[in-house]
Amino acid sequence: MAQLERLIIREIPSLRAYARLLVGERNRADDLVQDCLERAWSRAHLFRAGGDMRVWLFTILHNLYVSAIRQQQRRPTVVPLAEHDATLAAPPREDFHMEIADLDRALVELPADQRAAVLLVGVEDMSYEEAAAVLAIPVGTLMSRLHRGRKRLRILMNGKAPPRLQRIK
Amino acid sequence: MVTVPSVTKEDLIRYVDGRLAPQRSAQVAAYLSEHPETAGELQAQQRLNALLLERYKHVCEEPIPPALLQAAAKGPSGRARLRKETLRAVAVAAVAAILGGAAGWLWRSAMIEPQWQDFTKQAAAAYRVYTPERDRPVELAARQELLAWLSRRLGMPIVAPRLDAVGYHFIGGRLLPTAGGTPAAQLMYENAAGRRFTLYIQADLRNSRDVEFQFARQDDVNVLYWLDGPRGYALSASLDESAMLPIAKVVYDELRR
Repeated sequence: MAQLERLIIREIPSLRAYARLLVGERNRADDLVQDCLERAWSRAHLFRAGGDMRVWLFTILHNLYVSAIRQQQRRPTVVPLAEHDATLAAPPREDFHMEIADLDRALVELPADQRAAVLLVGVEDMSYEEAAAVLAIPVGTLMSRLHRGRKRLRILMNGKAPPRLQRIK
Repeated sequence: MVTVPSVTKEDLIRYVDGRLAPQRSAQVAAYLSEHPETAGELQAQQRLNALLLERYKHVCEEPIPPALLQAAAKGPSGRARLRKETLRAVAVAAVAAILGGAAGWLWRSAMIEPQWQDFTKQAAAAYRVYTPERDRPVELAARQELLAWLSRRLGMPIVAPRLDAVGYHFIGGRLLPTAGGTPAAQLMYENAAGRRFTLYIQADLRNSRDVEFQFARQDDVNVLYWLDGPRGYALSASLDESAMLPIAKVVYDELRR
């Protein structure tokens, strides 16, 4: 059990960082990670020895994230812009500073499924197969989300985003 | 004439991630040289990835909130207690995750034997000075005469390990002075996202044993070094230990060939 504990703890920093970039706000991200860790322990018996702890934990986190979004859609909440997490643990390298502020804004604008694909591959450095497993989608779908996500993110960063279509009820 | 399979969307995605086999990567690069618009888009995507990593790194550097550690330490007993092993695991997690932080490194730097301090310090300094260079990161580009020249000056065969397997390619190197007035060599590698690391080599250390992989931290630079008698090799990077170790293993194996 101590072994399992070590495996889980080792993933906390990357789970936190992924969650932060995924939801864009510190407290919500940490809540998500905490739920994920608790869920992991309640299902520890399902973890196969020798299995990939990283993929397992990220899958749990992703499922929790998806159900949180669904709840949120039922009960829309508005997060004031000022509460978006723009604080950094340490001052970033200067040439990145402005861009990081833009990046935070752009990430929030990106459709959630594309955001997850871009982050799992780009910063978690997961293989396409691992990322597809986490998101429970075929590899081909993962790659096209990745491609569309990166293109869109780049457009958003350049401030040339095409206006988002709004459904009129 | 050899037919080159046409470049697919998947090739382009893999190219951005540096996940193409070397041969295919070269074919895609040739394609891109004729399609500047696509090349520009891919380059922008790679830069974006580097930016995302930078952003990510800053969250990794934050201390882990105690509530999360407790949740992680909650064994099947249901009690949230931090065992001794947990605390040790936390230290390991911190070392593995912290890219720029200092905490986990204090005990490690204490482990470095004093005679290697100069060696790792100079390796890190050379990394810090030359890797951010946009236009002139290396004195000579990756060509055979560079390695022949460095080999001659250091009095030992200098080879540039092939690191395609870990997504990096050799871009060139330079000759450097050491504090003792003898020459050292710096070889520089880069991946598709523009991230760089260096391999610093010195041939005349006062050492007769072999020393396996050791970590040293020089402020914001991580140095992983090993000694082969008087020959010292130091990898310097702004990468964490877990990312550097696989690279070091490939370098080590390639050098042994």
